[in-house]
Amino acid sequence: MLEIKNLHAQVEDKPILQGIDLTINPGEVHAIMGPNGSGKSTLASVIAGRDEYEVTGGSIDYKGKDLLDMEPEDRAREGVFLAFQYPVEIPGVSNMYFMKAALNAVRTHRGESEMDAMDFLAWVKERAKLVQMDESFLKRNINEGFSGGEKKRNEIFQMAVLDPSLAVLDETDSGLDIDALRIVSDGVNALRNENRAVLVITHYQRLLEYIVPDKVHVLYDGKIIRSGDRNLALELEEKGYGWIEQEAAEATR
Amino acid sequence: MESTQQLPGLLTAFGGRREEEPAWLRDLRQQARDRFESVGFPSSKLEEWKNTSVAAIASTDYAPAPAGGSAAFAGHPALDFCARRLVFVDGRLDTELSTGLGDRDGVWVGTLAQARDQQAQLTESLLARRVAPESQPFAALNTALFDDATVIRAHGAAAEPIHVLHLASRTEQPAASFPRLLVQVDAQAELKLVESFFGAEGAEGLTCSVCEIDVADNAGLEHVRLQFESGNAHHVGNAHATVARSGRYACHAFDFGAKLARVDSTAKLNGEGSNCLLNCLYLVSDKQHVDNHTTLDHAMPHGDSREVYKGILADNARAVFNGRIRVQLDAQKTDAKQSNPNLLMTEGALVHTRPQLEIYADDVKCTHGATIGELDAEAMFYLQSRGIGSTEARNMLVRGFAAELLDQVPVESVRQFLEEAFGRRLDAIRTA
Ligand SMILES: Nc1ncnc2c1ncn2[C@@H]1O[C@H](COP(=O)(O)OP(=O)(O)O)[C@@H](O)[C@H]1O
Ligand SMILES: [Mg+2]
Repeated sequence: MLEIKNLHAQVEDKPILQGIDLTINPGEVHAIMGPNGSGKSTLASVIAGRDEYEVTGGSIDYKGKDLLDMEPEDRAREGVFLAFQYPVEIPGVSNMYFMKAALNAVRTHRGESEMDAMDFLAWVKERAKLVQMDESFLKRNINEGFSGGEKKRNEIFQMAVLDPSLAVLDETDSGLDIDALRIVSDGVNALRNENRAVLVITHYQRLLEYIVPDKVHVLYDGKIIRSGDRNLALELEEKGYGWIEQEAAEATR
Repeated sequence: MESTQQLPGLLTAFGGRREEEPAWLRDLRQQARDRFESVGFPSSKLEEWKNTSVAAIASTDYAPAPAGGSAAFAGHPALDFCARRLVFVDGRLDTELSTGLGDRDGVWVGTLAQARDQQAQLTESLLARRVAPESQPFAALNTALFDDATVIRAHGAAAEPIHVLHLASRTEQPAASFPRLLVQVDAQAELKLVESFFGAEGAEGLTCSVCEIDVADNAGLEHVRLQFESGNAHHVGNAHATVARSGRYACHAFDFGAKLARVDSTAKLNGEGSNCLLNCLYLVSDKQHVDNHTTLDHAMPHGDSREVYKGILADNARAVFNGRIRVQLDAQKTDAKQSNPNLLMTEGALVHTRPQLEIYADDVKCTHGATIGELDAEAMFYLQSRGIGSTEARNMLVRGFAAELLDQVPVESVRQFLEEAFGRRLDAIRTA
């Protein structure tokens, strides 16, 4: 589904991604771990199409199409979803209105008819339950006045509403207490299926106890320096990022 | 002083027949006329006018519009805002388009001529007492030249809103009109009032309006003011409200029209525990220029004032905001909040914003803030990353910016009209 080859990207002339290779097949859950500043959010942003990040080399193939050639909204309509590390607050626009516009944009793109108000309401209410989100949040302005945990829950709720093929979750666990972490993870797990690919970005192993990945990659200094199964996450937890950093340093010597 | 030679022309062209008027009114007019003749049109050298030039007004030969302009406004959407309305076409009351004059639903509605018989005491005691003459040459001009004024007196809790609608025709020679509105809300009474200005496309005239409002003890007035003049027109408005003990006054203004608009709004919290809200949304594009000068004058203790002026500017539009808050010595426990956020859609747009605080009492809360910014790129990306196209995302953010002001409009028909008008204007704005 997603095939990233030798991806290089920079922001404000500063190289950040320095040759990423990553392939994710439908149904798979991959995790990317790495220390702060290693480029995890940059990778997520490049996949979603944020234009401050300039791709300087490499390619991303998504369902046989050149993802890098598409506008962010077209990527979303084709089924790419990014759960933001820092969800944005938008005053004056309700969650409900937002999701209706988004869902209908996606449906129109797929050649489906727009959902009417009744069906839409039923659909969002059902999806809100997946992350135990109170219905009152639907009427509220997007993320305005939400706690950190509520914002993250809102991201997964949006994922549930839009039903993407590829979901990139950028540190969805950060700022969550253990109960919220469980709720969010249950939501994500409920959305796992054989057609959907998920890329979970996290700094901590903890999340991966709930969302069990098929593969784990370690990102360091803009490169994937190690890939393995979920045991790699445990190893990292035990030995810390210092261990990997040291190995990486030795490798370049 | 700019082009004083035009003054006699304007003053004679609109001199009108005043013989039937009572002596006090003729005196008032004469004083206003003298005052205007001595100060003239304001020059940009004056602090109050430094960012807004009225040279184009001063150098235009205005004439009264010919009669018979009403036909062109058949089916105008504003005619459907309220069942009870006074409609003026080119400054003249159109009795066929107007409905609900007289006394009903707790409100007396009529013209000044009618009020002189039925509400004599009221008109003489209120008319022209509220306008600060020296700084308001256009108010003086209005007093000298207005034809028949509108008088509204609420003495009960009105269920129905009242609309005072001004329509300006497109004329061969630029026309001018001088609308005058006098509103009294008696103790305990409640009223919703819509005051609006619309013009035919291409109308190049001048509207020079004055509205004087008196809100008595425990009374409440919701005032909606729509300035939707033609893009070639000039609009100079003065609105002055005085609010007594525990009275409430809220103004919801929308400035979307005119080539040049200047509105001076003053609310005086003149009784203990009174409450004033001044809301305004200005949306300007092309070379439109909108200037809002506001004053919240706290004269008595425990007054609350809220002021939210929001601007959306595109192309080479200009906006001026001057927000004065005065807290007099006696006005302890005043709580005043002012904000003036501006959204620039293009690089060519420009805003001058200035808070002006004059605080003489010591136990007061007074905050103000102004911002001038572009659309939030993060927010744009967030919406787009969910599949929303860039134009729709932009419109959603701008609508969100304006939401609190649109949502508060207390007359549903007007709120819906604004919602649609806002959407249409937004669609027409191209982001550079
Ligand atoms: N918009 C930006 N402007 C400047 N530097 C940035 C920007 N975004 C990321 N960076 C820099 O790029 C590097 C990688 O950042 P990021 O991808 O956010 O890392 P991570 O998500 O792994 O913590 C960091 O050094 C960060 O400071
Ligand atoms: Mg990050």
